[in-house]
Amino acid sequence: MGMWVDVNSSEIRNWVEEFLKSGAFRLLSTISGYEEGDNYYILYHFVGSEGDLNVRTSVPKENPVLPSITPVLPGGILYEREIQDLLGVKFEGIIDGRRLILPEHWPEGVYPLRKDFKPGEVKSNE
Amino acid sequence: MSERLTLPIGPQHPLLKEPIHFRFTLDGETIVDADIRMGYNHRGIEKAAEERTYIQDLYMIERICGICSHTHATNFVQAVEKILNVEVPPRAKFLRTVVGELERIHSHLLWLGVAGHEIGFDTLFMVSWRDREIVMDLLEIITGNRVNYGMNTFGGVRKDMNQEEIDETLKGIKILEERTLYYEKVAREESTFIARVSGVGYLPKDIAIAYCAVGPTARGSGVNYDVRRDFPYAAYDQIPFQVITSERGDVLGRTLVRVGEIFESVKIIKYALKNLPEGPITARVPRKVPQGEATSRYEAPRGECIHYVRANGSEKPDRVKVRAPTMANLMSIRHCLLNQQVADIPIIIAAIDPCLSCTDRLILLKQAGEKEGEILTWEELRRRSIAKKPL
Repeated sequence: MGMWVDVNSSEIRNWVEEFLKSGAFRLLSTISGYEEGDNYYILYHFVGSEGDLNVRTSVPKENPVLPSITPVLPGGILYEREIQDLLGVKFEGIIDGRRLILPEHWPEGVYPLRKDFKPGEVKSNE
Repeated sequence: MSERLTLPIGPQHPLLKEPIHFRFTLDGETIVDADIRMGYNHRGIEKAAEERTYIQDLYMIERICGICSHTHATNFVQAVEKILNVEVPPRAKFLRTVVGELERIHSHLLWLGVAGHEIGFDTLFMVSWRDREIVMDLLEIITGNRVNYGMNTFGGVRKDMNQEEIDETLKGIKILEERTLYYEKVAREESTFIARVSGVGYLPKDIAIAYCAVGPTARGSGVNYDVRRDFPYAAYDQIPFQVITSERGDVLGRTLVRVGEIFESVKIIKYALKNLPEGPITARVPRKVPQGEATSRYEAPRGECIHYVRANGSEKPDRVKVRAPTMANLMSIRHCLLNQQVADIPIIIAAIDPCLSCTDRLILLKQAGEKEGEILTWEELRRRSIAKKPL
């Protein structure tokens, strides 16, 4: 079902830029993230005139940083901010990297969607 | 240069029934910047889905939203069915389509009423919500519930329709079709309505695409994308219908798209019920979900909704990602608001038909400085809810 492509995380912005130029209709449906083994995986779910396309990239858990695609596709902004808040993967060069979902007094470095997070154990940093 | 004013609205505010924070920068009455903060309604559903079995998740995910409940439930079962490699029987596909389109009519009529209310046209609000009762009754006849229909299960639907229910539904949508003619007349001819919404909240087509807008918001700006046609699910590949678009790009364009879509929904339901295939309503489904991953798209009343499900072979999913259409449409709303008047804020925000319970889902929070949370028994909760004096 659909196409699945793997892209190196350092290449992701250029890849997206090229992809956007390559066809008449391009829509980023969402960006999702999950963790497995020593990596976080980020999936970009696209729709194009040819069909749907899922682009996967991975970043190591000890340094979860990858280039933001928002300079070339501003429509990714809320999805990247959501992942920064919830999975703790940082997007370098994001056009607006403020918190979106977590409240201001949520402690730094606690990411609810990570597997080692258990609901109910967070203490406010105030 | 005139002085600029920052106007914070929300999270609790008069525009919407759901919590979201807007921060407007004003130059006089004109909006020069707009910012959004959300998260006030997060309930942790994606995290909770990882801690429950697939069948428990189905019931929880159906409750993400009270209006698009069939949307989320269908989308989730579709993703899991892809992983299971199960073919849903044709009759079940048609029944999913019928409930989905009734849900669309219900949502669009609700929106029409809210839009009417926001521009001071309360008669429209009253008549469209009166007519919405017809579609709610039909949903109750078909599924047993007015909301959270519980229609879906993995491999099909849980309830069949008999001839009596089919006849009742056809009768009901005939009335709705006649009433919708009136709404179309209002949207196309009523001069006060047109004067109030034309040119308001303008969203150019290129911005709609760059900011990944979906649904009637995008189609009202001429973006010709509809999941039902472009990635047909359920029975949409067997039913003729048109995708409604408007090149206007303003609130009037979005209104015309939604009213047009009600007619298309009526057509789809009529066709589906007259051509309902015979046969079973569920397929046999393996007890265990194998390792795998799948995405599923669904054209919700508000636009494309996407679910991503990742299965690890256990009885619980490894990851469930839900992106509801409002999240996609919140990104372009800043452009709709720029250079508009303060008085137009309500209708511009209402025009994307925001649904925050869909959009916000995550974490259970205790406010800073709050005492230890308390757990109430049902009796205590009930006692407090009917207590006359403040506690």
